[in-house]
Amino acid sequence: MKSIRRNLTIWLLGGLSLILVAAGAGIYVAVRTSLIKAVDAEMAVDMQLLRNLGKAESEPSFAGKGFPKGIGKGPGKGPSRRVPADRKFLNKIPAYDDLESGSFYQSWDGDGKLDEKSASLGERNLPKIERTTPDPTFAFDQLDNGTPVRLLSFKVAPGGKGRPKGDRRRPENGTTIVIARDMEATEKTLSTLLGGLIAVGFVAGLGTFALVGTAVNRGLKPLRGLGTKTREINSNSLDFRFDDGGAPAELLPVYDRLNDLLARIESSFERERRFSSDLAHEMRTPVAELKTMAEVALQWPEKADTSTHQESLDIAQQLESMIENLLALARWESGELSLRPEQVSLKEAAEKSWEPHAKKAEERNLEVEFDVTDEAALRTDPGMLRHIFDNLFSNAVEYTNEGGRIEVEAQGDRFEITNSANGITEEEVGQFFDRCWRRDPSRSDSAEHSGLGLSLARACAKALDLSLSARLEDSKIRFSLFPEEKMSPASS
Amino acid sequence: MRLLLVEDSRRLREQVALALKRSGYAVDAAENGEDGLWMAQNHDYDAAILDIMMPGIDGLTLLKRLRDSGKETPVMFLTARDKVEDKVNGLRIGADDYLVKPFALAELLARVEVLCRRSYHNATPVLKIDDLEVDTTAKSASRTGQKLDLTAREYAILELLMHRKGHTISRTQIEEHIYDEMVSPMSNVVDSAVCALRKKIAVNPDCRPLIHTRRGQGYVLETR
Repeated sequence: MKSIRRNLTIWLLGGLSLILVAAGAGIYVAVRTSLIKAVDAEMAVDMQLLRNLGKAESEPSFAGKGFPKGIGKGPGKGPSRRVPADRKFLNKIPAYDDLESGSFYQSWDGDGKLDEKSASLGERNLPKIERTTPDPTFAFDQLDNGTPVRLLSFKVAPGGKGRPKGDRRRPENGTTIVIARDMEATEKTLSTLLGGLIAVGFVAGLGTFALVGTAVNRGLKPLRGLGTKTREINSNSLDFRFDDGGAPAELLPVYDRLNDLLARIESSFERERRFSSDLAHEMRTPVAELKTMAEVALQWPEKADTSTHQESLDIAQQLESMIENLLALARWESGELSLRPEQVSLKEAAEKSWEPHAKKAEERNLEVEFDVTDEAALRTDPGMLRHIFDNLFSNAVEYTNEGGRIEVEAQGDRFEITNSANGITEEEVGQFFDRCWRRDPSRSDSAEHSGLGLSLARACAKALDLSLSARLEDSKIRFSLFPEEKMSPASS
Repeated sequence: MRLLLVEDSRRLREQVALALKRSGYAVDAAENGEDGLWMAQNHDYDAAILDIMMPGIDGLTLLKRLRDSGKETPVMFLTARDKVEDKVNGLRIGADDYLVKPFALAELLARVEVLCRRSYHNATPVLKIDDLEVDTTAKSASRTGQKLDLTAREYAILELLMHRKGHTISRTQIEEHIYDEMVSPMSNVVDSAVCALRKKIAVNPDCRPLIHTRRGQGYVLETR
């Protein structure tokens, strides 16, 4: 399972470790480079000095070797063993004479024979670097005894004024000089630096581990809290709301969304509970009637009359109708139906649907006005449209106040029916389409209505891709039916 | 025993009233809370059966107003509301019993019988005085073990006298408890019924008279 905590920890620890290692390596390389550059610069100065000295002061003594004899003359052999008459070069750079100085040089003649070496080398020798170019070359190497050294190799061309005539040796055949510095101390310094960096890195790593752990824990605390609270929500605690006071800004939209979602679920559950309760009540009363009738008839059979049977039949039909309506509602809400759409004249359909309700409207002294154009039409299933109209008219005739007014309007593909109703509230209008909802909680008219009519009408409309809505306008209820794509924002 | 039934469902009201009448009760029926409250406040019922969800005044409000007016008529709620909180609420408001629809008629009759008994502070269904016994469940009476052949009216008068033995009951009170509002008894109907009852409970010449007349006041059932 993916874990934000684990991912964050891994990425932060990995990233910070890499940064630490890179920083340590950078420091080490920078210090090392700086130290070596200093050594190299020092040797370059010496190289230049030796070259200048060679040019300025030993012209006569180059004697075909190209380099003044006697520079750093040590206990040599052959020509190189000659003790120079003038030790002024060495005197110029006395460090090369001191065994402890850590500064060395050694030279080879054009034939590759050892020419001279500094007294500081003692019995040791510097390695000769074979070179093909006259440019000075730096390198690392070791003395015979394993002492690490930094080398600078360069060549001094033979000749000058003292170069014998006919000496055709090329400059590359001149004297090779290697000067060197003992790097042992530098190496030790670098080793100490490396050890220090590793130790600091280790301590910093431990610190980072603890810091990252704490930071991740603290950072994810609100998320953990959200998870724990969410786990505790069940169908019995839908009234729970997340308290977004003190919540981090990143979680506020989540809290808002969850609270909104919970409110919707709670409302939906409440509607379902109310429906179950209402349905139970709808069923209980006729069942109680039927049961009592049967028991009375059984207990006093001699006094039973046929009216009882008729009443029983009426109750059975009422229950049957309720069951049919519930089944139809379930079927339509789940979209299990076959439609036969055709062009339906709204005027014709409305007038036909009104016929069965006209008598009752007259009995209740209702004023009815039809304002339906001949062109008003919808492409829909005529049977289901009639069902919607039937329920709307039945509702209007039933609930319009005595002597009230019903207005039926249709234009284009929009159908509206408005009826006066005293004392109706916005909240009640909002509950019109709830299954089994009735304004009178006593359901004293249960013999005729089950509160399913408008729910059925809306389910029908939805199945036909129509929108059926109700709103309150100046104490009048206006039901609107129109294709869904034309839904207005004011509809409820 | 005279009962008040307040129920908005016409069929149920008619059937329950019919069953109660056939069980020997005088029944007044109302179809809404307003009528029910008026009747309960203006008559002395032995028990009242109330629906809760009714148009106008609901059963709970009716009971509250009834209790506020000082009436202690035993009340049973007969309702489709079956939640525990509904029952607890109903009983706490002052109902004596609570029955959920749909119900068994026998249970309804038994509970009504208990309510009526409770209104006279009698714990058992068999009422006795001397050697006369009245079984309020079987709606029968016997003396010295011999079953009495009584009409419904005679039995109702006897049961009322038995419930209130030792107390004088006026003719009006008897009429109030044994006739419903649909009946307008003749002035001497109670007297003739009591006279017939006296004869029927005197099963042999040795039997002591139990129903006595208090001139100008009414009747009393007691041993002398």
